[in-house]
Amino acid sequence: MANYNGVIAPSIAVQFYIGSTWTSTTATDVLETNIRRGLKQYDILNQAGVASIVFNNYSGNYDPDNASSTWYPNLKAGLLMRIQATWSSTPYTIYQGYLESSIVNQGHYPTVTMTFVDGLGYIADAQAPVLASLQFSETAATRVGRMLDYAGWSATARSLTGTTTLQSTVQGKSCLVMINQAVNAIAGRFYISRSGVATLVPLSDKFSRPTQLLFSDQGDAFSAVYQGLVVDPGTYYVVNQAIIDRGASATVTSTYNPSKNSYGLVSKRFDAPILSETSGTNLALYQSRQQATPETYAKQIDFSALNLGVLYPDFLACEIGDQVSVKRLTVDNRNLQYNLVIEGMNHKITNDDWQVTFHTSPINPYSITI
Amino acid sequence: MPLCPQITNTPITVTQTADFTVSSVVPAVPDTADGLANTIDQIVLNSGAVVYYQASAPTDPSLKEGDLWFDTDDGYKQYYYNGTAWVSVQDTAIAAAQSAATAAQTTADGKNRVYRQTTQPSTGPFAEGDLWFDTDDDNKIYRYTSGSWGVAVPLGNNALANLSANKITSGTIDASVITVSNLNAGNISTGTLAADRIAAASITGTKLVAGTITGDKIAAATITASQIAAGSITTDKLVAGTLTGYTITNGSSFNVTAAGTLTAATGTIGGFTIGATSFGDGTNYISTGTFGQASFDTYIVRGTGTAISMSNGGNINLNNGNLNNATNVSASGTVSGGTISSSGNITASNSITATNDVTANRDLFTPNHTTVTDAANGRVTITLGRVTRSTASSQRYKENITTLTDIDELDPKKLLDLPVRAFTYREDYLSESDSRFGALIPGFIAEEVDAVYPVAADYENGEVESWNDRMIVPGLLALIQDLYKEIALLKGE
Repeated sequence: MANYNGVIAPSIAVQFYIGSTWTSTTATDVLETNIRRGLKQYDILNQAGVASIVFNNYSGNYDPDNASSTWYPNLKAGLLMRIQATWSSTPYTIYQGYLESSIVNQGHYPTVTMTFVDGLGYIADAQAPVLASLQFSETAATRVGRMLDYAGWSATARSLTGTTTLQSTVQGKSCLVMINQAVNAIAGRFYISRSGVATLVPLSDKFSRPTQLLFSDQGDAFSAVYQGLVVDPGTYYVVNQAIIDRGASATVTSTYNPSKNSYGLVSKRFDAPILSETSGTNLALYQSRQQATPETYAKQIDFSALNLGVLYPDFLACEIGDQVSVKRLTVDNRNLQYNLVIEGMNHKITNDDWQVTFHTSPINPYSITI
Repeated sequence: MPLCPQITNTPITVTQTADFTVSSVVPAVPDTADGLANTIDQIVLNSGAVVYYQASAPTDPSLKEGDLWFDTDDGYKQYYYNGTAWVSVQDTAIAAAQSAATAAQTTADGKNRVYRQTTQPSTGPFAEGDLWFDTDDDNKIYRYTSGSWGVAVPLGNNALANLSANKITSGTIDASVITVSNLNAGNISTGTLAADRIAAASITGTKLVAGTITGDKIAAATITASQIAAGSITTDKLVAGTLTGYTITNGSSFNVTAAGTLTAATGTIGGFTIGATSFGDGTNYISTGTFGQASFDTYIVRGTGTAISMSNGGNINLNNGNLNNATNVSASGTVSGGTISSSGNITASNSITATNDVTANRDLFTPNHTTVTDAANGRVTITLGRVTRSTASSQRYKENITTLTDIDELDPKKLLDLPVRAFTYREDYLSESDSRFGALIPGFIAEEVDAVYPVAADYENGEVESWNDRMIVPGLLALIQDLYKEIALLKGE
C-alpha cells in the first residue's frame, strides 16, 4: 500500500536520480519514510539532514547486490534520491539526499532500509587546503561558495547571501568549520534546502520571511491543530556575554550588564573571523543581547500532517528559517501566542499516519548592522 | 503568501549603550617582524625574564638579571641586564662580521663606480675607469679617463652579444647598410611596395579585390573567348552592323545558324511580316503551312481573287514541289513542278511541265505552241481531271513482237463474251454541265472487262478504274479480220 494517494494527504513519491532522470520507485513498495532536517535546537552545530526509507523487498529490487533488480547496479552509495509530496497536481520536494547505507532484511518479511544524508554530509567530509600565506579576505557568501567548490558542490545548487567581510585565512580546516565561521559572522543559518540547494541566509532574512503556518488549539481560520507542544522557560539558554573571536588573536567582548546582574555572567564564544572591528563589535552587542532575557517559547511542535486541506501548499513549502506561530489557550484562560523560527523538522510517514515535528526557536526582535 | 495570519516583525538594532560593556583586546598579530616589533612592547618569557622592545634603555624598577632589551632605534641591538646595567650582548662573531664588512667596504670603495644621473658627476673621488650614464641623454656612457670624464665611450660591435630588435623604439635604420633576412610581410605597415618588387607572374586572382580591375588595365586584343563565361555577352556590347558570319540565336523568335539559315517568328523584311509559319503583308504571303499557303519547296498558294503570275519571262518552277492556286496560274516563261493545280486557268507562254498531275478546273494553255500531228505523244487526254499522254507505238520501243491470236490469254475471241452495256453515270460523279449528264450511254463495265479480257482493264490504287480502248481495239480488229476472211470464203471469193 502506498503511503497516501493524494486524497486525505499528498501522495508520496520516492525517486532515484539515474542517468539524468528522476525515476519513481513503486509507490506500494514504500513502507515507511523518516526525515530529519535542520537543528533540534538553534544553538547547536549544523547537522546533515537524514532520511531513512523502508522498502518492501518481496521483489528483491531494493537489494543492492541483486543483479536481477530493476535498479541494479545503481543502488550504491552516493545515489541521489528525493522525496516528493504532490498535492493538487503540484509536486513539492520535501527532502533530497544521497544514499549512504542499505540494510537488507532477508527475513520472512523482506525489507530494505536505505539511509540518505543531504549535502551537508558531503560538505562535512571536505577539507579546505592549507594556504602558504594568508589569503582571501572575502565576504561570508564568497567564502562559503569557495568551501562548496572545494567540496565539489554544484555551482547551480546554491543560494548564498552574506556581505560581511571576513579576515584572510590560511584555511587548513574542514569546509564545514569554515562555513560555520561565516555563519557566525553574519549571525545567520546555513542549510541544505528541502530541494537540495545549499543556502546561506543572514540574520536580516528572518525579518522578511512570511509566517508559513499557524498552529492553534482554538480552531482559528487557516490554522493547523498541534498535538504536542514542548515549552521551554528559556532560562537555560540565557547568554549575556558574547566573545567574538575574530581570529588572529583579536577578540571583541560585549557584556549586557542588566542580564548579568540578574542571572549572573553567562558567556559564549563565537568563532567569527570578521575583518572589521566595528562589525565585530556590532555582532558582539547583538549576541550578548538577543538571549540575555529568559523567554518562554515553544521549542517543539508536534502535529499530524493528515487532513490539512488548503494548508497543504503552505505546509509542504515550509523551510528551515521560516516563521510559524502557535496560539494556545491555557487552562486558566490565558491566550498565549508564540512566534517562532523553524530550526529543524522531522517527518515520519507510514501507511496510516504522517507525523511532523518542528523544532523552533523564538523570534527575538533584535537585529544588527554588520 | 501563506494563508495564516502574518507576524509583523519590527527589528530593533542593538547599539552600544550604558548597559553594555565592550572591550576589544589583543589586536591581530601583524604579518611582519617590523610590525611585530612596533606593536609589542614587552614579552614575558616562561623563565620570568622580560624582553623589552623600545628605543631607550628600560628603567623599570622591576628589572632583574636576565631581562633583554632590543633597542628599536639602533638596529634592534640586543642588551642583557646583568643585575645592575644593560650590557651589549654582541659576541665576537658579530665583531668579526663587522670587521669583515669593513674590509669588504674598503675593497668595494676601491672598485670603479658607476653613476647614473643627468649631470656629469662632480663629487669624487673618481677612479680611472669609472662610468657615467647620462640619463637625460639616452644613457650615453662616459668613462673617467686621465682625470676627466672625457668623451662618450662608443659601444663596439662585440659589446652586445645579443641585441633584441624590440629595444629599437625610435629613430631610423638605413636599410642600405643592413641585410635583412626572413622579413615578414606583416611587418610592413606603411609606405607602398613598387611593382618591380613583385615577382613576375606571381600575383593570383585571390590577391585582388573582386571587381576592381578596370578595362584600361587590360592590353588591347588580349582577351580570348575562353576568358568569357558562356552565354554572358549581350548584344548591347556589340557595335551595330558588325556581326558577320556567326551563329545568332535569340531564343525561339530569331535564329541564324552557322550555315546561314535564318528562322524567325516575328519581324519584317521589306514590308513583309515574318510570322510563325508565314511571310507576307497580310494579302500576299508565302507560307510553309498546309493548303491555302505556299512555300518555295512545296506550294505557292494564292487566295481567291488574284492569279499567281510571273512576268517578263519569269518561270514558276516548283522543283518537284506542288503549285495550288484558287484562280489562275500563269507564267510568261514556264510553269513546272510536281503537281500543278488551279481552280482557274494554267497558262504558260512556253511550257507547262509537271512530274505528277497538272490539274485545271478550267483551261490549260500553252498559247505560244501549236498542235501538230507529227509530235511524239501528240495526243492529250483529259480524264478525271488529269492531263495524260498515251504510250508510244513505234517498233523502236517494242520487243517480243508476235501475232495476237497466238497468245491464248489475249485471244480476241474472249472479247465476244464481253457484255456491251448501257448505263448512266452517278450524279455525284459526272458534272451537271456534261451533255450526257443523266443520260443512258453505251459502254463497258471495267470489272467485266477485267474478268473477260484482263489486259484491257486499268487499275488505280489497286482497284479497277477503267478499260483501255488501246487494248481492246487490236482484238476487235483481229475479230473483224477473221469475219472478213470467213465472209470472203462463204462468198467464194
